Amino acid sequence: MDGTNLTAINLGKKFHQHQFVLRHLDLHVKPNQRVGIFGPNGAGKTTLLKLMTGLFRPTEGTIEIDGISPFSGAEGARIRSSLGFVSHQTYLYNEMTVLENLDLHGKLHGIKERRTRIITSLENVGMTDHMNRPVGQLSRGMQQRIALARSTLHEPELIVFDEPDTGLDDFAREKLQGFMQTGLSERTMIITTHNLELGMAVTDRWIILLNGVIAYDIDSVATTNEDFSYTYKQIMSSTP
Amino acid sequence: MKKRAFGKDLPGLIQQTWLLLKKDALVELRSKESIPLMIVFCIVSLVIFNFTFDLRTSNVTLLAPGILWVSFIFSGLLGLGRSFTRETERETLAGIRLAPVDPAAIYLSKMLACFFSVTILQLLLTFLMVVFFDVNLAKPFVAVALPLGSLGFAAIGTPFAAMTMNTRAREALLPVLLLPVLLPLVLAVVSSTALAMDNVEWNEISLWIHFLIGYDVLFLTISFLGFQIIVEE
Repeated sequence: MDGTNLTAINLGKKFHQHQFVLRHLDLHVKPNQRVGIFGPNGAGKTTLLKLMTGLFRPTEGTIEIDGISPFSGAEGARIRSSLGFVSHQTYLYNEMTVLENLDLHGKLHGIKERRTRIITSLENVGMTDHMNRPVGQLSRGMQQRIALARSTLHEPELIVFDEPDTGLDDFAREKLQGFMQTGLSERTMIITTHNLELGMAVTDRWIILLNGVIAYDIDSVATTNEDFSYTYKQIMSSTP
Repeated sequence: MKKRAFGKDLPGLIQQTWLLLKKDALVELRSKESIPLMIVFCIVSLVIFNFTFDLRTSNVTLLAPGILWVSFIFSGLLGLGRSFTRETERETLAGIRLAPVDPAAIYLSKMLACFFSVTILQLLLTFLMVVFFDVNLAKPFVAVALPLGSLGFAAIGTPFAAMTMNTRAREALLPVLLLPVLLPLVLAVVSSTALAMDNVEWNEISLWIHFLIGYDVLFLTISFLGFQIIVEE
């Protein structure tokens, strides 16, 4: 697999009459790059990810994945099929079984060999024993693992994580971190999290988003975990 | 290494609609949230009408179409609101939109799910009208007016339910916004049902039937084309 690139130019988003959540944001993510986006609540992290995945349309500016806007009709649909999104919301139907949820997702992505791919995805997250159980009967951690399996079922080249560790216990968080580090090689990955330790462990470029703008952007090779943590705390403490 | 050809075998609009419609039916069958609620509301409202009005008069046909459609509209609103509220609570609609799904397929599946559930409701309502009020609804033009009314309700109700799903007062907002737009439909469908019950000729009822067809086509087209804007906002 060869990761995908993402380019945002002068990106801005506001909701109805409210002020801009993001403004004048420029970002280029190279193929196979792993980007961690950090920042306080309300910094615009989730909005940025939802713009990347086509869930929100930008108010101003453009966003392109491999040079194609996710909103451009059939081409946009094609490019959206190369994306995976894992959020703290699982987007799963509680009334449907794990298998039914994944099968629907596979069919909507036009996956032919669905059964094999579903089993492989569930094996990756250690959930094959639960495939015939309704999602509503599973614990929060298990549901999150199913969401992870669903988001990787179509083997996306760009995978986006929005605070995927929310509500997970230490064991589940460790499994998630392991999967991100080893199970998602040769893919472009973007993650937002409040967990600095997890974010730094699985990414190689670190961005701090503050009030809808990029306040800091550095490659991991150019700094150390301690220095970045210090900078992060300094920036966070300078905000009201 | 070469990049994979993404989106090569994506399902078309009809296939997407069918998949989403099946999903809605499965969720409803297992959760039993909308249709039983609509049926109970419908029975309760008819019982109230039965006790409130003295309908055992020779002019029962004057009141029956109004009772039929008022019960139908209010029961239908319950189901319509619920179909989107369910999606909002766990953001499952966002999950569908993350797949390369045409927003028009989301509209068509939701509209058809609404149409089928209100059709079930309407069959029950027609039966109950006969039981409670002893009216004869087995007329050919009634069989034309009822599905046209249901289709119009589903066609315009679906985008309004989608528009209000992310608002705080959605349960109150949906009827407040939708009922004024439904007014022409209600007028046409009540008039055509009343005329059909009177066994009138085609030329007397045709104006209303044509109006209903026009209303349905207009709102189906507008909603189909404009649903993308609604789901993105």
